[in-house]
Amino acid sequence: MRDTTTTLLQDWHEAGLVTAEQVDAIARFERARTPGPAARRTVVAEAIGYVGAALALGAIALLVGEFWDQFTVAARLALVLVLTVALFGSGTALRHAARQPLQRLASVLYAGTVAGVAWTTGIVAGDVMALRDAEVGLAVGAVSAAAALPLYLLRRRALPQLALLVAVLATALAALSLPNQAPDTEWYSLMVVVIGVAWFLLGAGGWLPPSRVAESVGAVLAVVACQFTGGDGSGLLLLGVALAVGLVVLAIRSDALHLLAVGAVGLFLVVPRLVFTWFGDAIGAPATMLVIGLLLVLLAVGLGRARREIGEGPELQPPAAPTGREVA
Amino acid sequence: MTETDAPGSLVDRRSRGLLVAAALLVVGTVVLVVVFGVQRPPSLSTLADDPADGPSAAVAWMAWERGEACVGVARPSGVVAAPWCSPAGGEVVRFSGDEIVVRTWEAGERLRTIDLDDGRPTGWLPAEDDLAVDPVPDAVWPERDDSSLTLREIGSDAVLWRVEAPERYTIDSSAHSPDGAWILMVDSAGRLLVVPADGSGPPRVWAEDVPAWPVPVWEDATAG
Repeated sequence: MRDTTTTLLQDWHEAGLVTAEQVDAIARFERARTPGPAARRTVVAEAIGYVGAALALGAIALLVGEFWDQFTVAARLALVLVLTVALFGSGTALRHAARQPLQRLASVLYAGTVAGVAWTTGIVAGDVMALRDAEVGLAVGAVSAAAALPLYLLRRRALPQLALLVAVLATALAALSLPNQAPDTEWYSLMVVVIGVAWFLLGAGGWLPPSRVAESVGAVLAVVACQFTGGDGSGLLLLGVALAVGLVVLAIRSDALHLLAVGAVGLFLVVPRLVFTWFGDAIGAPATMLVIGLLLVLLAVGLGRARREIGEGPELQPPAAPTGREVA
Repeated sequence: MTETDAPGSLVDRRSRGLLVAAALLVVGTVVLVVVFGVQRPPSLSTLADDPADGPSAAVAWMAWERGEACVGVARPSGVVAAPWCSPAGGEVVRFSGDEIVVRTWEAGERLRTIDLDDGRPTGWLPAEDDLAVDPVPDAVWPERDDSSLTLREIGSDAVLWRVEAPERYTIDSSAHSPDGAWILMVDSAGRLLVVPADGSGPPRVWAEDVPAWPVPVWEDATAG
């Protein structure tokens, strides 16, 4: 937010819309609104709280796991259902809380609800209905997606969006595993790539707020999935290179640092693999060094173009007074 | 990516376009996967279509189905039945006249006999009977050549079958019939196939949803 304010103030001052004094006043006002050390301590406390809760839940899970086989199916179902309902109820109770930490906790509880629904479905499909593994997977994915979608529509935040994405992915991959003769690995990878690209497009189109999360996660999914190939795999690797290059170009044109990061890391991951696939050990290492060197140059150009998004430092600096221009 | 909230603006038109693009991408990929990705095993005729030109012995196996291990029996007529199931699991040991001997884990590892006609358990075999099932040697080995699969009989190298098949299609287990005239095979699609040991005809489907391991057991007409 501060970097965006700096950019806007610079533009307005250069256009002669605001004076240097007005820029200083606005900068002071924004600094006053920025969370200070007390607020940062609250965030640290919240993070420690989540770590503690995760450790406690892990310990409970280990304890329950020791006795899980001794529970009847009805007992397992009852335990998981109670847990799921408790998570949903707690999330709903906090949904309209005023404080941001409680809002984040509500998102975590809703994500936990989706996990609980998945677990419940797994018990019903596996233990009660005794379906095949692939059928259990499909049931778990589909029901979880059906639960995650309304929760996301109720609460359009990052964590519910990620829960929905995971459920959609699980459904798609389980569906691919249904036939007795499952498809080759590349088809699974291609499906994940396509879901990632679709997620990116929906995020960019404003259909999956927060958009930046959808764009970033979709891009990461698409680029990483191209790595999982069987046999030669050049086709998927080439697709990965194309996607990563596309992200870098898009990032440069739209000053989107999050896309530049994903695209750059993607190139560094995919290109060496592709080079070794094509050239093997003969000239693989020198060719890889050459390509990585060129990628670094490209990255430098991209970073230079995205310099306004990175910002100049921690303090808001008023722009230098223009020369040869009348200030309002 | 920058966004605006202006109704009817470029963003509104672009967001609908991106929605359509995303939908078309997913639908198109699903179509591609269904048409090209799902590996269909080679199409074969069934033994039930012409049982007269087939083996004279039955085959039995054990398969898990909805939480129970069920005995599956494929008759020379092509009829397939599941006369007996047990939640404890088990393994088919051998045929014994009109009955089948099954190693089961009910009340410890024991052998019990099952009537093949009505699936009724008829008794337990004495504890001193050998519980071990001799390993069944493979009868065929598969060779891949680009998009084709060639099956050769182990020992004679006779070509039993050559077929265009998906890359991951193969034969998971096989066994000679007691008279040596037939070979049963379980393919990677879970089909029980039977083929003449001299390669005089293509394989035919005898049963479906058959596990490759343990290898299905032939009925031996000479055994008691």
